[in-house]
Order: sequence, then C-alpha cells, then structure tokens
Amino acid sequence: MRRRLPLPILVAAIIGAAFVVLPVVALVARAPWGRFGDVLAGDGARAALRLSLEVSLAATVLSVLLGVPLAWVLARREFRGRSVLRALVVLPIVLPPVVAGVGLLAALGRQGVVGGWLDRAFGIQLTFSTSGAIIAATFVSMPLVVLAAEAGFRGLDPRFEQAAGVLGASPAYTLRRVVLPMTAPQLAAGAVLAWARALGEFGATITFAGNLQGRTQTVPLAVFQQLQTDRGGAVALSLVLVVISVAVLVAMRGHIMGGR
Amino acid sequence: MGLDAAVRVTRGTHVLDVTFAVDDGETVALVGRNGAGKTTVLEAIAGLVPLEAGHIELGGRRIDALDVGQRGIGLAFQDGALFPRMSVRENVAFAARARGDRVGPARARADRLLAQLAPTVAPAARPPQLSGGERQRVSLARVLASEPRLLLLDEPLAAVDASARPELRAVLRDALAAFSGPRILVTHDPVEAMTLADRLVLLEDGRITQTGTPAEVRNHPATRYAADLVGVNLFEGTLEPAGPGAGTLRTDEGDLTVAWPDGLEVVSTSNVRATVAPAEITLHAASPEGSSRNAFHGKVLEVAVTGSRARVRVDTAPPLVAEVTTGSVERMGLAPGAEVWASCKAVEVRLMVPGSEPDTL
Amino acid sequence: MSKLWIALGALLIVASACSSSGGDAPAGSDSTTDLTVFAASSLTPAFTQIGADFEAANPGVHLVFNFAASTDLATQIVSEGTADVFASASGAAMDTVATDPGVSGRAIFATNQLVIITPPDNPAGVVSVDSLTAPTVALVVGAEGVPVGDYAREMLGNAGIEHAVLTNVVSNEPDDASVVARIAGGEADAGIVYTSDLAAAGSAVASIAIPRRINVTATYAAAVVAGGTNPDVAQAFVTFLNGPGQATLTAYGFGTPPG
Repeated sequence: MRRRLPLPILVAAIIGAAFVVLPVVALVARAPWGRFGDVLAGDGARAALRLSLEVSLAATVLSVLLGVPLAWVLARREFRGRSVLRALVVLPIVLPPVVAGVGLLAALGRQGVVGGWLDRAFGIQLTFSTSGAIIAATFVSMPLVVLAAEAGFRGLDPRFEQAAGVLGASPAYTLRRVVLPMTAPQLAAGAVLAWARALGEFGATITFAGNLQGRTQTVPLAVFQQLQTDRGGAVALSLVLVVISVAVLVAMRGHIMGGR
Repeated sequence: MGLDAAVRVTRGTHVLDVTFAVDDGETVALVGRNGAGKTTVLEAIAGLVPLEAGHIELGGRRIDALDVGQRGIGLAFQDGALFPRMSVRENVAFAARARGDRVGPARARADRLLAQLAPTVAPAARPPQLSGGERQRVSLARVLASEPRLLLLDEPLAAVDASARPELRAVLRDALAAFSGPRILVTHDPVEAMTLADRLVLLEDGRITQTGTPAEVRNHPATRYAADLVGVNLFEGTLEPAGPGAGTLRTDEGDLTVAWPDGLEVVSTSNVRATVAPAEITLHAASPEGSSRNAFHGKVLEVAVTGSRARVRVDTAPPLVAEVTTGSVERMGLAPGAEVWASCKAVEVRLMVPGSEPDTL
Repeated sequence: MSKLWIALGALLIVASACSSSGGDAPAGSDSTTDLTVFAASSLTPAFTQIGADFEAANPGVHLVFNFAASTDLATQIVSEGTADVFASASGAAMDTVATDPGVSGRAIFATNQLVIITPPDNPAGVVSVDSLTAPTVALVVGAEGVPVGDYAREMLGNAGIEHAVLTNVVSNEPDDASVVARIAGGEADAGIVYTSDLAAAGSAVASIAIPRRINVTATYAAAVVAGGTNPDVAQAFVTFLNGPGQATLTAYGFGTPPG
C-alpha cells in the first residue's frame, strides 16, 4: 500500500510545478494564432530561427571539441593551479551573461587584449559577426560540457585505462577506444545541456556580437526587439523556441539526469 | 633468465620491501593476507606504481625505467577489467590493434585464442553478458594475445563462484604450463596457491616471510600465517626435556607434551617449532583416557565443512585445528560454543629444531 | 501545525498578488509620496538632475525613474500600468499611451536633434553624413521601432542615402545609450545619436554635425498617465519641466520647445 504524500509536500510541489508550467501555458494562451503563420514567414523570424540553429549547433560542436580535452586534463593530470583553472572554467555558468559579454569585449573586441592584435595584424574582427555570436554562445555553454565530461572521466574506474596501458595502448588510443566509448552517455548529456544553453543565450551575444538581422540576431535577440514593436510577434517567436527546446528535452528524457 | 625483482614501495604507513626471482617456465604464487601488499608488487612490476628503490629485470634487461606499455608484461586483473563497450573478440584483439596490426589478422588470432580458452563464449558477445568464469577466460586470452614475456595474474579465481572454480583452475593450469616465460600468481586462497604454483612466496606486512615449494611450506611452515595457509597446527616455544625421549614444549599459548626417539641427546632449546597435522587431533565429548599424553579442553570456535571432512577450530591452550568427518561433527554436536576435548599423541607432534636438518625428530 | 504553514503561505501569495494591481492602497506608510516617471533613455542625465531639483523643491516627494526606449516604455505602460508620468522622445509612443490608458496635461518640453559620433581617434575618417556611405564604415544605430533608430533612418532618407548607409550597419541597438557605449568602447566606427547624448558622453566620443536641412527634430512630450496614484504631484512635475527644468535641459544639450 503506497503511503500518502504529506500535504505540505504536495502543495509545495504543485506550486513549484505551476510556477514553471504557467509561463509556457500563458505563451500558448497569448499567442496570436490568427497571424502565427505570417509572423513566422516574415524575414526577421526566419533569419532569427536559422541563425539560432546555426549558432547553437556550432557552439555545441566547439564546446565539445575544446571542452572534452580540457575536462580530460583536469580529471587525469595533477598540476599546480588545477583547482583555480577548474573554478575559472566553471565561472561562465555563474557569471551574468552581460558580464560575460563585457569580458569577451575586453578580450576579443576591437580594442581588446587579443582582439586588438587580431584587428591590426590580420584585419580580423570578431564583434558584430556570426562568429562573434558563436564565440559568445560557446563561452557560456562550454563549462557545461566540461563539468559533465569531467564527472564522467572521474567516475571511470582507472583500471580500464591501466589495463589498456599494460596491453600496450598509447594514451591517445586508450582515450579513443576505451575512455570515450565508456563515457559517451555523460558526454552526450553535457552536449545537450550546452546546446540548450547556447540556444537561449542573450546577454553575452547582444553585448559582444551586437544585434543585426541575418548576421547576429538570434531568436532571443529578435524576441527582445519585437517586444518593443509587436508583442504578439514576440510571443509567437518565443513559443517556437519553447517548442523546439521542449521537443529536444523530451527526446533526451532520462539521459540528462540520472545517467542512462 | 626470467624475472629478477627488488621492489620497495611505501603506501601511507605500509612499506613493501621484497626481493625475489622467478625462472622462465616457473609459476610462483605470491601469497598473503589482504593488505599484505601482493597487488602492489604486481602493480610495481607492471609499472602502474613507481618504485621507490630497487630494480626489475626481465630476461636480463632492466625494465623498471620503461613505460607501462613497453615492458612486455601481461597483467590479468582480478575481475578481468574487460572493456565493456567492445565485443569479447575486440577485447582480445585490443593489444594487436593498439600496436597497429591490421583488423583482419588481429581478429582472427583473437578468435583462435578464444576458441582455445573460452569455447563457450561467443566472440561477438559483450563482457557484461558473461559469467565470472567466462570473464576470467577472456581476460586470460586478452593477456596472452598481447604476447607478453611475463605473466602476472591478480587473484584469478576470486571473482568466480566456487562451483566454477575447479574447471577454471584446470584451464589456468594448462595455460600457465603452455607459457614459456615466468609467471606470478597473486592469491590469498591456499587451494589456488597449492594447486597452481611451483613455488610459494609468502608475503606478510610487506615482507617476504617464506619461500619454498608447496611441500616445503607444508612441512615446515615458518610463521603462524604459513601454518594457517597450509592448514597445519604450528607451535613455537622452548623445549624442555623431562626425561629420556620425552619433554615439554612450552609456548606462550600453552604447553605440549612431546617425545623423540630414545637415545637422542636433547638439551633445553628455545625457538623450537613443532607441527601437528589436523587429522591427528582427535575430538572427544568427554575427557579421553589412554596414553595420548596431550589432552586439552575448550570451546569450539568454528566448523568449516568441505565435502565429507570438516575442520574444527577450538580455543584450547594452545589453540588447535582438528580435522574430523562430518559424521563426527553431527554425532558430537560440534558447533560454535560446544565444549569439547582435543587430544593428540606426544609422538604425533613433529619437532623442528632450529639449524638442524629440516626434518622431524 | 503543518496545515498552519500552508495557510500562511497561501495567504502570502494571495496578498502579494492583490497588492500589485491598481493603486488604491497608499504607497508610503509615512508622508513620503512616490512618483514613478517613465522617461526616454536620452533623458537619463538631464532628468536625474531635474529629479533632484524637484525633490528639493517639494519635500516629501520621492521620484522613481524608469529609463528606456520610448516605444518600449509605451508598451510597458499599456500592459502593466504603474507609471505616473511619461516623458517620450516620440510622438507616436505618446499617442499609444494616450489611447490606452490615457493621458492628461500633455506638453512638449524639449527638442533634440541628431548627431554623428565616432571614437575619439575616428578610425574610419568620418567627416560628414556622406562619409557613412563608404563600404568599410562599421555603423551602429538604434533599432527600427526605437525612436532614435527611426529618426536616424528618417534623417538618412532626407539625405537620400538611406539604403547605402544602412548596409553598413553592424548592430541595431535597443536605445541611444547603447549606441554611445559601442562608440565609446571603440567597437564600431560611427553611430547616430541625439545631440543631448554628447553632453553625457563628453570626451569619450568625437562628433560630426549633421546639416540642418536633413536633420530631424525629435519632439519630447510629457504627460500625466491616467490611473496613476498622485495626479496632482504628477502634473506639478510636468509643469516643472517647462519651468525650472528648462535650464537643466538646455545645459544637457536639448533644444527649447517650439513656440
């Protein structure tokens, strides 16, 4: 016989669920269903959706390519300053996105520490470009990959790597054929979280990459601008993003939290 | 040429300091209690743990400065450590593929080894689907496939159920015999040690306390642990003659009446060891009559039944292990806490006098 | 006992939901009167000063400002209410609020014109409006729908170069202050903002005047928003803008109202 849930817990749970579900339900209620198609067919919306997908996928790939090796080094190598490095790597998660954007400007902007040199030496400007949007999105989402991957690597029994080493495998071969296959679920979960974060990225993007339709105006930026002129349109576009995100999260259910 | 190892490693408060050698074609069982340092010895030889001091030579060549993968060593882990995300065949072919061999020949060779060592295992199966015994067989195949010059086996039967052990033991014995280099087997199980090894090396608290063939150790266990290992009652104390051919062995845990052939001159000697085989200890419900000369009263501590025989430990002074039939166990109601008398004849106590020819008096 | 906590919690939620709507509950517990002023972001430095002056002249009044693009503010007022005074850089934004929830005492209190700004070192060598048509110029303007952005496009249209210049836009900013920030930070080559922004930006930017014949005059209007808590004090503030506030506005680079 199942024990009844205590009433306070039930009430708190219901309020918690409502808190989260209500905005989504409200979006559906307030959406301009009559002209939904027109809004989405507009140049602005199409460009924003295309950019959002392009930027978020590119940011995810970049986060994985850079984040997994970083996580590997953090998990398996001991060196001075490792805990400091780990704290810095995780920092973008707690940093307000606009602050992250300001940091990126200071580093890679036209007057930035590295950006200034890139501009003078190669004429490369990262601000106001799609690459800039990708950089901003990668900056805030890579920590999620690093956290998930490092947890995966740490959780791996070292004997597998030891066995591989004694059998004559190089560290690279061991990583490729033993470690990565065994940590694939955790890496995948990290990649999905990174993608979700990159998709919703606003503060760092608008600060570092600017806002231009077709080049840097991802859906969050488009929604922000729409709010001033056409609130209904903003709701419609927001709803599209919500639907895409929910679809992916549902598809990944069970894989993100609590392992396989 | 074989293996010549001097290993010193400190782990926390435990210091491991051992020196030993293993010939080509020889199987040495490194035996000790859990925590004695046996696995550390293997890890040091394999290069997974750095040597504080010492050297490791294999086939006349120093290997202790070499990288883990370059030493030519095969190490089979306790539960196999098979890579779960690849098939059994790919596991066995791993070493060959890692050094660049082509897929086809590597897999073909793997299949041959598997057919020989684990015929009931499908090469396409995945490790999580295998039983403990099957995993050990595949692990052995994987190690042998890497063509090592030295075989290290860490507790090969520990992760296998008791019913599967005899068969696996046979497989191991054949595989070891077929391997031309030196082989070290680490175990805490006396049966494994006695049946698979040519020579035993006993490790206690990081130090070697005895080496010898199973027979040598059985006949002359040097420490209490060695005696427990081979299942013999061991005593150590001072021998005091009491008359011609008779005397007392005074130990810290109790006294034994002993005897020796008339005519042999014996003086009071310390550090004398004596053994009594468990089968020579008889148990009685009441104080025994007769000329046994050694009779002790105590409570049963433990009864361990193997087949039709049972080993009974009693907390007499000195403590004894007796071997009786299971019938006797039932008849006398031998269970922990039961009161019992244990006796043996004075002549059944085999004395080992230090420095003398290691045979009994 | 636990049921008591639930009841208290529910009560708290209901109470907070009720208190936010309408303005029937008195705002301050003592004699302080709060006045909420929604003002165009270009008015930020000027209104901060005027606000301090108004509070000094009217003890007991406390001004709370919300600065943002006028169109954004209009949207907020229409959907959320909660403003006592609205000061807009755009007639259209004021019209929106006049329709719903309605305004009273609408008065023009200042004008503004546009100006081109560049980083102090003027990396793209901008000397006139026509310079902005050069393909290598990285231009930042307000977004369409934001007053400063709409005015900029209108001005470029007056000059007949709207299309050529707009292809050089690298970012559409949410308000004039953001455009200034981009230029001051050296991220872009040129921006189009209000002359009043120059007063606040100071030496952080260099400026290039726009010929009067193509320049656009932005007319700033202020009004009391219907449904506010203190319409009398609100009206006093609006009147103040055309009174003592004029000197401050002029000092911050605004033009005087016509007539």
